[in-house]
Amino acid sequence: MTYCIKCGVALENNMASCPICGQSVSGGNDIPKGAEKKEPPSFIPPGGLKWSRIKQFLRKRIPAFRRIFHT
Amino acid sequence: MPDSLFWMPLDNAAKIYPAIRTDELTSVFRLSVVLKERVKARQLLEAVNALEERFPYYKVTLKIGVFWFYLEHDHQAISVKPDLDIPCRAFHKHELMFRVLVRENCISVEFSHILTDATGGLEFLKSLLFSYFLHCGITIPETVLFLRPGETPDYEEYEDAYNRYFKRTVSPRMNLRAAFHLPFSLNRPSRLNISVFEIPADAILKKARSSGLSLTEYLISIYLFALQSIYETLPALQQRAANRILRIEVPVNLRNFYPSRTMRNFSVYVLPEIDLRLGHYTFEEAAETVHHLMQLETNKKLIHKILSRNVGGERNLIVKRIPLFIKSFLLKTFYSLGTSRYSGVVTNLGRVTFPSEISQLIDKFIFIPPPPSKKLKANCGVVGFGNKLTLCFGNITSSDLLEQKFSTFLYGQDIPHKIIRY
Repeated sequence: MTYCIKCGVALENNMASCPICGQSVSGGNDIPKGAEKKEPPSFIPPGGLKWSRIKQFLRKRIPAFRRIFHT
Repeated sequence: MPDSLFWMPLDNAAKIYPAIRTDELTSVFRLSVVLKERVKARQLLEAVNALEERFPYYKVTLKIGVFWFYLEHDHQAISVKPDLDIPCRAFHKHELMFRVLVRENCISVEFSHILTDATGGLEFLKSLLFSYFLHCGITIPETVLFLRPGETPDYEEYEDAYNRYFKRTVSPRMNLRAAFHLPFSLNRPSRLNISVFEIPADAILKKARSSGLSLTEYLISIYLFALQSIYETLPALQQRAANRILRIEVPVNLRNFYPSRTMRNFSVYVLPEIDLRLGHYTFEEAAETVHHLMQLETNKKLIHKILSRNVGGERNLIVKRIPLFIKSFLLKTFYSLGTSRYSGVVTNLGRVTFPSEISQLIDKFIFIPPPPSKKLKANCGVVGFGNKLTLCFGNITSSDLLEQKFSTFLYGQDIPHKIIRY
């Protein structure tokens, strides 16, 4: 186990750089799989529904209107 | 449904923060857990990734409406950064309003008060910590209750609990006199100094119980007593000019009064005080006053009165229809009037308890309250873990006399403690 000289976290031996602060580690290899910050999956899944164009329009516009003008 | 359609109005407590926040008055608090071993980078990132979908109500950015600010879902990853800067920094406009920070043995989360209070923040930190332990191969007993990664968030977690429990009742306006404030000059930006007091919980609890006080009451009494001695060190002319009411703002967790699993703000404030116009208070007198005032003000009916007053204002038909830019100006004025009414803040998050197999991996918890305003100048956050009670003083002045007075009092009571510059 090695430690990052910048942020002090524990790194694995095969890490080329600290995945937290990016500080390079001499003698390390690539960042192992799983250590990179992944883009998160979508919170609300599309759901697979096919909306009609009117519904789509209303879905977009009415909530936008409601949230901007909510009292 | 596209993610952008998920939105929430701000809860009652959050409504004031967008109007008053600046780069210094950030309304951001920090909760840290100090482990006994170095944090493992890969496992921590995996733990954060596992939580991406668990707290959708925190993955929001602040938007401007016509009448109110609101929160809109934002598809950004949770930010994990090295903890190399001053704590409780402001969030940028397009940033999520919470972050995870890590350094050596310490994992911290910082939350804007717009999103949640310290109880909500602590639940998030628990989930992150347990998720991290799971990725480190440590078994978490099934009996441990926490918001597990992979669970679907319940509606109750992001409900506005203030509105759920609001019932219109008699709630006359409070008419409080201005309170005493620390007379010290401000530090240069960035001003915030943090001092952490590490106290054996059993020693201080024993003292508090022997005075017939709860721990919070005991700490408030010491704070007031320290403020009184600062007031008494002022020259006579300055004493005459200063306000002679010492009043402390104490947040009360409403989840203890109204059952709710909300992860958003759900607290109100009570304001115990001593009035120096009546003369010098001994510690026992100050403690007795604080005890009775706290008992009275945390009565459920009076708490309901405060809740009703706060939510009632927001529901007022005229207030609702004032455009946001005017409202923001008014809120700023009210906030500044509000802070002139109290001399300090003591916020006690309580004791964090885990099963022994988890506890042995943790050294302590630290709670840094949001940076105090230029008027207030100092505040104090308290959290306990095992036998360690940590008091964290945020101070933006060039003097640490308040902390010194606090420390002197503790030594006088034979309560050993260690002071660490954060």
